[in-house]
Amino acid sequence: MTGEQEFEGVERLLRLVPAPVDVPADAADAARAAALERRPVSETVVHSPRRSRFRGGRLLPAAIVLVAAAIASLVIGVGGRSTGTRYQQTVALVSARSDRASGSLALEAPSGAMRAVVLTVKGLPPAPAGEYYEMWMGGNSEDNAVGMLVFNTNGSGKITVHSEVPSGITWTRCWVSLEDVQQGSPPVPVLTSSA
Amino acid sequence: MDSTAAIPFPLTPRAPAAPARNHARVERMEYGALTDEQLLVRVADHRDESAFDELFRRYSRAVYSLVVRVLRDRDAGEDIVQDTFAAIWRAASSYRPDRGKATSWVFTIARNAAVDAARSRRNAVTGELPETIDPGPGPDSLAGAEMDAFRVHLAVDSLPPREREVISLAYFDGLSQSEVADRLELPLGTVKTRTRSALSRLAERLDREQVSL
Repeated sequence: MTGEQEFEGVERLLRLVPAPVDVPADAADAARAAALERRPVSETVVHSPRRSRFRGGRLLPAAIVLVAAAIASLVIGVGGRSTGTRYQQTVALVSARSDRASGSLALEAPSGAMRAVVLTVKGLPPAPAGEYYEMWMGGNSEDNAVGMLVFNTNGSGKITVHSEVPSGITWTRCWVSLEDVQQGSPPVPVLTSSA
Repeated sequence: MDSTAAIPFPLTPRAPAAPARNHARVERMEYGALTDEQLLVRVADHRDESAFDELFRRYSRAVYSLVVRVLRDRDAGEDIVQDTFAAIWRAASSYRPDRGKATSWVFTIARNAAVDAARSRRNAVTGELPETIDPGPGPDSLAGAEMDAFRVHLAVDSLPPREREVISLAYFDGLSQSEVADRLELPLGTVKTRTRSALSRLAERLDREQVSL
């Protein structure tokens, strides 16, 4: 079959089939959530987590040590206030710059494919116009990082965000970066779990 | 401590510029490069939600279009889309690449769900089988036409946005190429070039899907 004949065949098919129908946006979101049996979260859901395709195997012993170290070094006030035994892990976030920003990421025990998290931040000024904060989880290489949620702070520099992350994600550290909406400038790390 | 509402995501559409460190974009690009079959395997083996998202992105409009055609009811179609993708998530491990393409597998799930729903509704209304015989095409030819439409919709949705736009306006909205050019404020030559490029991609994809042209 020649190219022209193929084109004619395609055109004939296109004229023959009915026009596709767009899925209403809210229905698409609902269908996705229902399919994944995503349970509702108590506060603002920022966005669905984006998982990296690179799992890189299971948690390495070094990663476990790192996370354990992070837990051990958690900010006592945050971890203690949160909840007693409710959270399985709490990771302290320290400023990656020379300011007084700090925070913590508390993770509940996995519940199916997801686990609830609470990100608490203080001392972080509101993002400048056209920028926002994003929390990432990943390993030592940033190439495998996964953006988990985006947020901004209010005038007091504080925020508490309740969201969910995939249970199975392999990560050794998490951090928060200041991102440019237009991506005109590279992300700027502002908080990090690593010393 | 204050509990402040977070910014909904995305804040605004992301610009095409790709800084070296843009994890989300890299991730989407990689998933976009996987075949439907590879995505299904990732869903089955790893419960990979990003793979599921990519499948949802590729299939949701074609699935919705199919079930709306079968049910002639958009609201009910939304429920069937949910059921279909829930089934894909749950049953991905039952997909066997050696037994056929993912397209056929998803089509079968969606069509069965829609037909079951249509049957339930009919029985709920009449309480018995209909007495009149539908004079339209038989079930086999109907399913064949539905499958062709499903494949064509998938193929169109796989086009680059600029090409999908001109194809949709020309063939689904019935505009002439001049009208498409006016609508999109593009030179006529650009519309023709995009149309030709799109037709070429569609021919290749539909040939791969073994749709007779």
